[in-house]
Amino acid sequence: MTEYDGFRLMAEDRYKSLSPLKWKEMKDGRLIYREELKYSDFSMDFPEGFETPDEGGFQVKGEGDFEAAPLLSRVHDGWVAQQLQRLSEDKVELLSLAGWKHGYVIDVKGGESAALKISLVDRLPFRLVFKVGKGSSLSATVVTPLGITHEKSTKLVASRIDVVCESRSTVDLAYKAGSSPVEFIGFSADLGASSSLKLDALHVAGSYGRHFGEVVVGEGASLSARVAELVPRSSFGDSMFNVRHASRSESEVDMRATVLGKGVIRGLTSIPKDAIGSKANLQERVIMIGKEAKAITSPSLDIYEKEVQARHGSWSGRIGDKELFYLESRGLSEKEAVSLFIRGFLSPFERIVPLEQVLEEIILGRELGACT
Amino acid sequence: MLEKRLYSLSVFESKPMPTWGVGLSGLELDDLAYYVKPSVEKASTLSDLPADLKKTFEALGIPEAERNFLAGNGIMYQSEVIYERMKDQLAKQGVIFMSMDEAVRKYPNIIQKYFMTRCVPPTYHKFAALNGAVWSGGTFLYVPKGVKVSMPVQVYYLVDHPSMGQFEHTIIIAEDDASVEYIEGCSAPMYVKGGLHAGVVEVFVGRNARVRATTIQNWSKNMYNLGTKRAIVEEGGKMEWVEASLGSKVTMLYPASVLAGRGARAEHFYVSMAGDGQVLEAGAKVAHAAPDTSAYVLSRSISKGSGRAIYRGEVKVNPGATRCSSSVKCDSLLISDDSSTATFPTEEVYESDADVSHEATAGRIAEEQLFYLMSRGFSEEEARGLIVRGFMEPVTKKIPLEYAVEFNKIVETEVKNEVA
Repeated sequence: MTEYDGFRLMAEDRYKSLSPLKWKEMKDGRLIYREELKYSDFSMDFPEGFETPDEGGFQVKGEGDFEAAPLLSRVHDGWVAQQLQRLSEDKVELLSLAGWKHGYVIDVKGGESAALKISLVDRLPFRLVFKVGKGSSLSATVVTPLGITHEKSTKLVASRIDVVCESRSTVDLAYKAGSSPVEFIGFSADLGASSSLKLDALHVAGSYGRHFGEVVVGEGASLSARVAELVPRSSFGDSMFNVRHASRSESEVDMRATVLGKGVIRGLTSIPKDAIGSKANLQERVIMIGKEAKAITSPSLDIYEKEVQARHGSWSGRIGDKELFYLESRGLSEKEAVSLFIRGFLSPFERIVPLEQVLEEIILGRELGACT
Repeated sequence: MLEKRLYSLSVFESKPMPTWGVGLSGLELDDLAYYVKPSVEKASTLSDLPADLKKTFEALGIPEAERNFLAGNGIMYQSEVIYERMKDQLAKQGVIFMSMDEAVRKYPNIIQKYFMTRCVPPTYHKFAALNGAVWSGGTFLYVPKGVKVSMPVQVYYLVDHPSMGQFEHTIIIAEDDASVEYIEGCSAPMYVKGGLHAGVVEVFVGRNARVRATTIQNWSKNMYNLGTKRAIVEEGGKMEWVEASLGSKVTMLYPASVLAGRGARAEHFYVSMAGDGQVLEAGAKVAHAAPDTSAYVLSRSISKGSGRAIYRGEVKVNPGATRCSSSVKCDSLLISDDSSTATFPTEEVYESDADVSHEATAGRIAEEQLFYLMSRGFSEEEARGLIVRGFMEPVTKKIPLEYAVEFNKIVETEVKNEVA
């Protein structure tokens, strides 16, 4: 039995030991899954036929000093093993921790720098692990295939991106995910002392999409995250971003969503005792388009230290009549005006994927006729 | 009423204890005294009350308040109302102000229509069901169509028995175009074993009517405060909830407003101070169930010592509730090293043209503000007290002046003690 088999068995045992997911869960007094999301409709069995995860599936292009290797070839590395051994009480997260087909490790050694573009060639579950050594820097863009389908497939695809930033490292990471009808993306980052992470994450929900992120911000570290959720009509998108602070750390989390279907946008900032001098700001903004649009927002703060500054805010609503009138009075059609506005709203993510294409094919397209 | 009690009891027994929020493991429901008859007879004037009680109420300023600025005054002691009085002119206008126990006998048809029907049914949650089963005391306040009660009506709740459960049930009805302000004060001395307050307040705000319900809560610091408050607001009506919370060991209180008619409005104001060993969790629940409704929620909380103040709220815009707007603002101040705070808001929006916003801040008293005041001659204690008063002012200005002054004094003393 290989080490990898060991990890899989461990995860599989834990998966089977957890009770089946109910379609409606309460956790800490907050309703997590609404009646629109029925897990009982999904194929939630632990993936079979993945005896050996593929070594292919990724195209990595870049320059600088880094190592890119299939995840399987690095399982004996202590820190990789540590990532793989992380288990969860969440059934779905367990799938993403162990049920992947394509796995890659990107390792930037201490003091070096690298700039990469990583493309996933198909829509199978993947696992991507980044390690950025002390004092090094990484700029990376990860793109999964474009094009959403509303096919009837209920096979759940659970993928994951994990980042380990050692002290004084700098990471600029952008990724676009969500290309399968039922896809869950997990993200985690562990920021070492005085490191920094700039993150732009764009998730396009299929029939059911979940995008959960968790970041631990170490002492003196800083996080700047922009997370976008696009939820087409007849889709359900659930986006959550949790941040936990150590002392003198900073976080700015900007969550934006364009919702035509049903969207849930949640964030939690935790500041434990002795995380002195921390600063945190979490903002959630949701633009709702069309009669079918529904949104739930829930920004939360949990503070155990007084020497901090923490704030959050949320807003849900539609594009203002004045803004639309301004654009239409300049000759744009209603569809063009809405599209332009949304492109502006999501402009930080233009570097990940051409927004015009995303909006035309995935979000607005022929559906805009019923947007007002 | 017996049938309703029995039904409520069955609902209570069928529902599990909540496992979310503040822990209730210390609440011993089987050890509570569910009905304590007061040792005094009902009085027709305050001067008829026994000397020790008179002294208590004089210290609270109740006789003076009744003389100077109350339209009606009531006192509930243990499980019964021992005093109620209303100005004659209001009785002539058709205003009804009496204990709920008396109202059940005198106005059964009205009570049957409103008591735990559409506002707070027994199925609302476990402690609403408990109240439905064992309630006693409380107030029935009815204001007929078009009558505007210019001075507030007040009821004071005093619990003076160890391990007592207090389950008052209050119904306030303001018919179309009416207006009234209702004030509740609550207190209890500290015993070795704390008790439970699980009161219910049901408010019905008619078309274009106005109701303001103010509560100044100072239960003993080993008491569980698990009350229920809910209002149904009809077209053009306005409901204001004002809560000032100092006492109890654990509070879980979420005044709710259902905006059922077009153009209805709700405003929620909440201020609290959580001290050592206290967990005060409160919030606002607003349901926009009609078009053009609006809501404003403002919460200011202070945590000191090992206290924890939590805001947990929900704003919901139902399908069909078009052109709604809602704004929630909650701020928390931490003034001790061991204090903590949390904010758990949820906004559910099912209409795309709603405008729903929320913002919150948490932190300590800003050094610049302290420095500014101290450089003008204030001591550090005085400066902190002033800043805290300013922090609470947007809410305390909604409380009647006499009580606001008293409330501010208590808070400032607590802050100064903490600094010392």
